[in-house]
Amino acid sequence: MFGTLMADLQSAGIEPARQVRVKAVYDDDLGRYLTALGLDPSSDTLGRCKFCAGAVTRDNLAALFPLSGSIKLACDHAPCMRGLQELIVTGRVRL
Amino acid sequence: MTPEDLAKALAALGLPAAFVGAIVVVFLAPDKVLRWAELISAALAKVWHGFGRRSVKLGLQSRLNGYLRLIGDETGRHQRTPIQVEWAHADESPHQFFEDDRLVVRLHSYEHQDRNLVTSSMLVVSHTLIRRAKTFLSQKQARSIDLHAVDHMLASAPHARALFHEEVSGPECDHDRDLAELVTKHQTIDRANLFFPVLVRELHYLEQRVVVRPRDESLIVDVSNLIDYLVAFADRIQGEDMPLGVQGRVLRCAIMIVAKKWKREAGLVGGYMNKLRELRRRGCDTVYLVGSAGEENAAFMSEIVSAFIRESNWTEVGRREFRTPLRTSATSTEWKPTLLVVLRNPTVADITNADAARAPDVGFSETVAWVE
Repeated sequence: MFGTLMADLQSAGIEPARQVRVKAVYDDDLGRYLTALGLDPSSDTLGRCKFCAGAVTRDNLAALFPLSGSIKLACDHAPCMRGLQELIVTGRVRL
Repeated sequence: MTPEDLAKALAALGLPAAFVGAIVVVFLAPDKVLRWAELISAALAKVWHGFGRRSVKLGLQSRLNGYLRLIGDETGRHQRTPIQVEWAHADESPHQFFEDDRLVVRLHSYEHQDRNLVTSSMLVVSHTLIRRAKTFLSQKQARSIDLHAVDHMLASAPHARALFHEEVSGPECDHDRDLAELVTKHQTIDRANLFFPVLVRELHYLEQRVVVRPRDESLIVDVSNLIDYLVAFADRIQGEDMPLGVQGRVLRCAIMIVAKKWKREAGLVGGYMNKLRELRRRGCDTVYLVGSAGEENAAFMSEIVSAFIRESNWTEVGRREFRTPLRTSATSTEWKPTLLVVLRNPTVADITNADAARAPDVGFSETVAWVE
């Protein structure tokens, strides 16, 4: 009955409002942010992309996320963004 | 009267009225206010660099929230999910990073706002648009819905949309013909304004009902049938016979066209009522009534809806008007004002075991014709 209960609550307008907070790092803060996380922003490569295993640089970095106890990086290649989206859909990575 | 017209009218009355008008606009169109703030902030950023960050944030919030508001209205979700861009602390420690346990999106400076828009739209669509339902679908079905939704979302940002086509949807569809075919189907459905109001709405109902993901492909087949049905409906020629609905193991909905002029003029509600009763008896969960939004036909549709609601426990869960292209022949199309009314059985049971779910024995064998 969970689904219908939730639908009833929504219809009655009494479900608590949720808000999606998109956590972001702005370009100006990127160097300091990466340093604070223990990454070296001055090196050519920040690490390997979780999805394509290619080199992630300051230029092509799209996102960082925690997974299995380590900091994962995603580059801005379309297939890697797709991989990231799939992790979000399955709930393994939280937005 | 649009919020802008109202603001102008009040502004003409003097400063206090203009102030009241501004407050009204903030409440009626918060996304547009954010958009104005973004543009002002972007102009100021040329003088002072510090405003760039604000422009990026306001720009993303205005577009993402505007879009989610639209989706909420069209898919009947009472609860909207406002988006707030939140800057990570520049000195965040690894400990805080893991404790927060969230994705951190890298946002470029305002000069690259198109890229920011593409990235954010993709992530937000993944997170907010029928997220649970997508886990029941095939990978291609889920991906095609995301791709079309992002494309739709970026319609008001042509440069970002072009970037999305060039880097994401174009290459993916070029490499996967099945995916390209599904995206094309969604475009056809969306042209008739049925993508969010019907397809996404049905998938939203699906994710509310199905407790455990089925092991077989029955849900995928149901969704595939619904997509094909909506494509056929969107692409029909005026007067063409159409199946009345889709009756799968889990998805059971119907589209009923209310457009027969002689029935309307004679006030013959009975035939439509019988059809609705039959749909209910056959286990249909949602009925979409579609017809001309003209005054007489809209009143006739309301009469049918009221009569059905009075004798059943069903409720009206959505009503919207839009212009839709209707093919009048194989080569010509006319845009017609259309009214869509959504009727829903509020006592649809959860499906705790989708593997054991069976479609009712009786099917929708009848056809219904659009007759103007």
